[in-house]
Amino acid sequence: MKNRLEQIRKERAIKQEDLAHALGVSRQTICSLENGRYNPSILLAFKIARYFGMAIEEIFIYEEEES
Amino acid sequence: MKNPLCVFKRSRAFTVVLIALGAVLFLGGILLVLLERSDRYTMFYGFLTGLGLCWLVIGCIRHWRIKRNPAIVLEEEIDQKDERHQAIRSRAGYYTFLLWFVLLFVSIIALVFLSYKTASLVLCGVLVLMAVTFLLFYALLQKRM
Repeated sequence: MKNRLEQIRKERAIKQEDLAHALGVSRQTICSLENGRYNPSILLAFKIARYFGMAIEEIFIYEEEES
Repeated sequence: MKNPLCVFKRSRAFTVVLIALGAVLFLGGILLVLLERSDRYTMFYGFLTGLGLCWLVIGCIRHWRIKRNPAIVLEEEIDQKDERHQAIRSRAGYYTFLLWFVLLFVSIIALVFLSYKTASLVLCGVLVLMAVTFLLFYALLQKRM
């Protein structure tokens, strides 16, 4: 699942460590999220959206898998 | 995340318990070795002594690290509760279980061919226990999740 997490974070000049600390996760998790290697749980996705004051769909982009 | 003070107190309690248990095992093991007249259980007592010493040393090192930098406790708490780390641990545990299952099976076949009946039977029992335990946990978690 693609996301705009890195883009939004950099626009607001927030460090990965600060974002990780605010969300209660490790910096490696933020890094993996931004690289698309890890998809967050619904709970973490809500926390991220709430942190930035945005809707989940504005941050995470769900694309149908091509069969 | 939980109150940092609670996390710190819990971590300190764990360190104290680790040091105390380590000391008890270490001293108890040495005492048992000295009191034991025969060599029957010396290896077991030695194992207890070594285990106690390990725990004692690890507890002391942990205590020193936390004293030097208390923030480590909070970092450990975050790493423990981090959902990605939990997913990694869970998957690693499952792959390890599968690998050990296959290795045990291969070992049983090898032991049967080498005519080690008792050993192969024991490993068979372990294999069955592993399978049953896995199925039980799977059934339990299916109900809860």
